[in-house]
Amino acid sequence: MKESKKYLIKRSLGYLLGFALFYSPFTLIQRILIGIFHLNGSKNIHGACFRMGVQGLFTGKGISLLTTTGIIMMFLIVSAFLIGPFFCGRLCVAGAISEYLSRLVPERFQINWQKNINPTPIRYGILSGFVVSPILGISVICAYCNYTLLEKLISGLTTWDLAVLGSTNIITGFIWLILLGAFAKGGRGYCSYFCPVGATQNLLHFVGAKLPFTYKLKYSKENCVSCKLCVKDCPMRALQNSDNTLTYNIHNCITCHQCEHSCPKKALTFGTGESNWNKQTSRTVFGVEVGGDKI
Amino acid sequence: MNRISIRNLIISFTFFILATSIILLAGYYKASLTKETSTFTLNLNDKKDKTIIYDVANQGIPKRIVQPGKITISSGSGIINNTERVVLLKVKAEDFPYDIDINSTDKSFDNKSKIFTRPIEAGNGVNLQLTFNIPRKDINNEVISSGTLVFSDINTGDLINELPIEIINSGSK
Repeated sequence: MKESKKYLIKRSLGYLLGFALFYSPFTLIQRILIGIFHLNGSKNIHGACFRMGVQGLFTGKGISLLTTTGIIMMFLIVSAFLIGPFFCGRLCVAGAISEYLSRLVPERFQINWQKNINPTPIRYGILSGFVVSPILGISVICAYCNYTLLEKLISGLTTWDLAVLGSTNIITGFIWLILLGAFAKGGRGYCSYFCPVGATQNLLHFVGAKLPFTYKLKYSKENCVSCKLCVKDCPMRALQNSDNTLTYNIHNCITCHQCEHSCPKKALTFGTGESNWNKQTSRTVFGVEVGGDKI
Repeated sequence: MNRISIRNLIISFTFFILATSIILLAGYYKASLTKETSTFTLNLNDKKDKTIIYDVANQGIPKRIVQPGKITISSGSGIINNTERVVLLKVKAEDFPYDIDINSTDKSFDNKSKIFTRPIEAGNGVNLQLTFNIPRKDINNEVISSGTLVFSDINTGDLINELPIEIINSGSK
């Protein structure tokens, strides 16, 4: 079996762990924090909601750190800054479901959304709208949330009955699982364009990656044989090949390490120090150079 | 900055504003769908006839296409025991033509017998969720389903309160 396939299976174990940690009926993290550390919070996905936490921070409502949401939010912020969006790449079941679903659909039916429409300004625009919305008296928090929808669908599965879905759930499901999921190359279109949790973590990773002691994707031009396997395997399509240039969009990378395991020559690695992306040939995304090199 | 960079920046900024606007519009759309789920509160001692009416015509287009007959009515703020005694509550659905699933997030609720096994102290409350499964072929009827939710006390056998519920379609031709 190819190394990339092996790693894909290995990665799926992380998502299963993520399911046991955050989702009903298990919610191990919430149960540990509530049961052992006596913190406040709910024993469902809302008890781990980073989105609610982010919204609370930006609307001046604040956030109590000694709650399940507060602790999980701190974990995501620190991990994103130091090692990149670890949660998205290793534990997020919602993102994984659409990614693995897309592997069941033949590629000829799939659209490379991220190549055609740059996700960076859109995902930060969505994050900005998400933060601004409560100030304007609008709430989009649970209505368009794929985590909430996933928990609903799982609870429906346990009773062998489809959960009651609202119009906003149905729209979210269509975008997340079908339009930007099964029929998108990589299957993580929803993550790329619509997830405010991912956008926040990528913003932190972008800043953190500038420091020498943080983990980031590193490129070795000497080892690269231009096979483009990394481009093909990247679920977020953060690596693209345009005009014979390998571009890397750090604003859209979930640090899942799939590219590292797809590369037969170890040209892509994760580690500390300089990332070695050649800024002269890099692509500009949202007014910011994101790294890239001729291949 | 060269001309391409400026053009890219303008395009990116346009997408950024567009995405922000889309999420705000999505919020307004969600706000317009508040009647898609129906909530009620009930004080057990208030005997006023307060019929709960759910109008299918208020559903959003996606709901109408995918799942018009799966309807939930829940007691958002709860069913409050405003009597002066402790009540052991049983809930029963009467006269509804279709199956209804009665459930509660309260751990004392026994789904089989529809009884709250923990007595409800005066002033305290419980919650209920009713899920209706209406066949798609009947969704265009003017009156789709009507019946009553009956609350009784297991200890005394007394009827405590009744809550009439009607599911209609004001848009039916």
